[in-house]
Amino acid sequence: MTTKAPGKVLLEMKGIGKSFPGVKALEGVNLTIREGQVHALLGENGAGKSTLIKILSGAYTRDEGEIFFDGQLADIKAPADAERLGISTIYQEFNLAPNMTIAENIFLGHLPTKAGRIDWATVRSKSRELLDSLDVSLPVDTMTGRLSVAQQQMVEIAKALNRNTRILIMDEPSAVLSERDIDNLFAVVRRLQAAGIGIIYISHRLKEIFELADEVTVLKDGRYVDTKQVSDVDMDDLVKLMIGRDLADVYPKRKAELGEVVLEVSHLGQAHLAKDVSFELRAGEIIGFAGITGSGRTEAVRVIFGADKPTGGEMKLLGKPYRPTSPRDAIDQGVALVTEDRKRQGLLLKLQVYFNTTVSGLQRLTKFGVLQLKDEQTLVKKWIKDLRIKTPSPEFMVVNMSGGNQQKVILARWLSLGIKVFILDEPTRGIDVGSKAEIYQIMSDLAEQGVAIIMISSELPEVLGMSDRVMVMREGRIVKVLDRADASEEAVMHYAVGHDEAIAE
Amino acid sequence: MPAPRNRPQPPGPAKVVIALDTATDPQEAVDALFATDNFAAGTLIGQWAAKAMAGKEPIIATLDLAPGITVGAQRHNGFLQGMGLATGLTGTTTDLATAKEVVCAQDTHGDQTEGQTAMENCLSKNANINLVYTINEPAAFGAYTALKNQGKDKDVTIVSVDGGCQGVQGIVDGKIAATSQQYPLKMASMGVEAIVKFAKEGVKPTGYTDTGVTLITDKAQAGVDSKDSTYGLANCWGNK
Amino acid sequence: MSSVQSTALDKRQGFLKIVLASPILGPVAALLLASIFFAFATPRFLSGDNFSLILQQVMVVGVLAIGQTLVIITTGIDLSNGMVMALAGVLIASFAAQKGINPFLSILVGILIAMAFGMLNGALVTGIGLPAFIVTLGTMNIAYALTRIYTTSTITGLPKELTFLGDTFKIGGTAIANGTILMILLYAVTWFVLKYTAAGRSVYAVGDNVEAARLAGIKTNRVLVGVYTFAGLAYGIAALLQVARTGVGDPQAGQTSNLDSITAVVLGGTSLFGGRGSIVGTLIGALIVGVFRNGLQLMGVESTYQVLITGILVIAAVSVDQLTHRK
Repeated sequence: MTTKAPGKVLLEMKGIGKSFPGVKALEGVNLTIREGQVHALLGENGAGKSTLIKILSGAYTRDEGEIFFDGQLADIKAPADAERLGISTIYQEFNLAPNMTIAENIFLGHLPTKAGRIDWATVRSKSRELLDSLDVSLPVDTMTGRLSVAQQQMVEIAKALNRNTRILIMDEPSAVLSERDIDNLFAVVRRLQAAGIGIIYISHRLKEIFELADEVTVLKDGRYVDTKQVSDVDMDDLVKLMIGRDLADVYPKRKAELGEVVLEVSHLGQAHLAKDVSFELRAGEIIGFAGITGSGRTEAVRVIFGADKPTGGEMKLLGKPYRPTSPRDAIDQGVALVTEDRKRQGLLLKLQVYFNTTVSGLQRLTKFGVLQLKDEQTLVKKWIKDLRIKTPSPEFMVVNMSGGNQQKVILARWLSLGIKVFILDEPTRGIDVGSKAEIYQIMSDLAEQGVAIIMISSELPEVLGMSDRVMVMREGRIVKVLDRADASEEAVMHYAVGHDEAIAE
Repeated sequence: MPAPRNRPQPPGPAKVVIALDTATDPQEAVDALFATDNFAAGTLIGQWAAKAMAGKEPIIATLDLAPGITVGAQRHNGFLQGMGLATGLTGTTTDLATAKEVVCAQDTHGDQTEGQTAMENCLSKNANINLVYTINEPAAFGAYTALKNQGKDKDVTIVSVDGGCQGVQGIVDGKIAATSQQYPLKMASMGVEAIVKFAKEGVKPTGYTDTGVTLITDKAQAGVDSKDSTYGLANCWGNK
Repeated sequence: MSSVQSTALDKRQGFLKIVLASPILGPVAALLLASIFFAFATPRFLSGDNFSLILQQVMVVGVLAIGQTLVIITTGIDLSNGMVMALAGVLIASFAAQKGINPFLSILVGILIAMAFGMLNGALVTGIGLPAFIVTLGTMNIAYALTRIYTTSTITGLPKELTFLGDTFKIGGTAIANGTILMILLYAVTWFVLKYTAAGRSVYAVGDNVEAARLAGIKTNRVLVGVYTFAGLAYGIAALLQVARTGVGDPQAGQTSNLDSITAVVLGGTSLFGGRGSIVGTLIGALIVGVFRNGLQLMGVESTYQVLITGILVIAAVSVDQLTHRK
């Protein structure tokens, strides 16, 4: 990262405030973005980063404060206002039409016309130009629905560039990418930087911030904490600003006392992605599944949870044959899955905290078929307290909660059900450091109580920090099992990408 | 009066065009029309009701079809004219005429359940209704149920149009006092006969042929032609 | 805007949003306002007998709407309910009056047939994964045809067991139909099930996100088939109420009932997007429709305007729902 003279000020947000019923999301927040600068926005979940960028992109309207763009007062009340100024946002959930081509998506809503008809020639040539500038060789007529996540992201960036973007907001862009794709993304970001675009970069991965950003602004509990030059701080400083306490050992020290074999999986296969998975899992053990996207980890655990039917293989739970016919069946036998996409597959978004917490265990709260609502309230309030879930009340709709708190609600859902095998798929994706630490502690406590845990993660530090054994999957098979002592980032990557084969050849 | 539009002459052998049930606009666009006169149907029951209610002040509810439909307007307006409560009406408008004796006018779409609801609400509006005009017999049956539920079935006279077999049974059962019977099957059979005649003898049918309407009632009134329910059952259309 | 002003505005907006967010407050307010308006606009509105009439006039669609509410909560929709009701009604009437079958047995058969249609709807929605709109459009036409294949004339001469629910009893001078009591009982039972049983909860879960519900351990196919079958039960009971009210088995009954029941559900505040909804709201919605029709008829307003006003109400209800539930 080169140190350049700071470019001219593009954007100034001063004293921004925003409230929602029951919660003050932002108060007195400032942000200054310059041309050609990568400005990181840091904070725990619930700190207000999402709200701030939604105000900037016009999805929300600020209640207090002022926005200046190019020195002029800007009253952004709708996405069209932001677009006119040249502010583009790339959210975690992409806004692409899957049944349209790349070119169509890039020009979505802005198709150029010539004499009353759409000028497809310009659409295609300009799209080709944009893709080339991002070093993407895909044909412009490819259906975006067929693209990988990383490729879709490039299309989103091209879309933004097509609108003469001057400020590009990127919300957790690396969360869904593999290590290889992340390098590519960084190269693109630097190119955008060189072109004079101001970039607001939100990420929880502190390592990335040090690699990529020039300045960093920290928010906490909706309030502005500080803005620093990245070259002036180190990781401890940032964490201290974010959570107000020192970066202690994020990964709790574990004494692994392993019990009997709880789960045996032999030659498990599921459709095309999981081919032949075999392993044993003991009580009190945490095994981490590492691998690049598409290696079949999620597919394998979905079979263990009864969410999909296996195409081959068998399983044993506590020594007895285990063939779950549905998630309900798996749950009743003591197996739980925390899905990787909590918004689409985990949470009932328009329903309340209490509903989401008790939905899997309603039978335990009924007497003669009647739900005991008071018992439910007691149980839910206990979990809110024990897991430090930030919510105004159990009646709060989960859609309005931050990612970390949402994940805690999902955990609470399973914790009262006497689960023996706990599967977590990307449990800390999109979650701030503070909540991450709490989730690791919960996992560690569970393991100490004898629960067997499977954790899928793309974050190598997490896999290495939490697992007793690391199972590296590649192309549907477990290619290597590493003990805690032997595991290192290099070793895991080595097997995950197939270097061991390449070397052998 | 505007000159009749020239009908384009199709090439080839001569053809005949007939219309059934509803007139075309202009009427000259077809060779012949076989239809029933709904205005006359309404007039008949109106005339009957005027005689039947002589000496009593009529407090009327009309249970109509739906706004803008010719048949509904023709029967309704014919009824009012037949009763002597309106003058100068013809069968050409789709607007429903009013009269001060009509205290409630509601639409039923010819449905029995809607007729019942309309009658109930009309009675809520004015409990003294003593004469009910209904667009067809299902609506009449609905009105009857509403009246019976309030114990008024003996005090209120219901008249209707159609003359279907179930409807005439209503006359027999004393639910409907009088109904104008029409002959839709005749429209079809006369029309087909005309076409066959043209095909065989080359004689084109012309003009308007009224397939007729008969007042059916078991309480005949002087000065108004009618037939009784036995005749009605013998000549009715629909399921017996 | 100064921060003092903006805080006050926040407080007002916040309060308004909380008030409007209570699911049935809007519909209840609409019902009260309408009633007050009609009480002033026409002298005959405000009477015990008129209210009892309104209850009788809404009781059939009211019960149909119970089934429709559950289906809509699961993000489905049922277009077949009017025709299924007509079929069941015709069969009940015919078996009892023409075939000499015991009236209670006839009622049971009619209700079972309605439930069979419901189960068919549920099976097609879960088994083939067709949208509920398409499936129920198909079963609607099948029921319509079956009814007319069986008979095209109205069936009369019903035994008194069948008309019992249309009979009234007096409470202090006002006549109340037995069927109205049954309708209210059904609403109470459904309310209880939705609020106090795991099955009721699972209906909401399936409506919010069927895949997330499945992964949370809900047997979603079972829930959906159950919902549609229960809806069929409601339609069968509605058929009995229809027969009792009119005193006949009418193959032409229920032509617009599917849309009428959807109107009641929407006016009651239930979202067509699923996952949310109040059964009590539906009852209020059905009453709103009944009050408007009765009031406007008492005022002598033409039926075209009755339809116009219903349309405006529906748009208003859906808009209020959207505005108060946006993030």
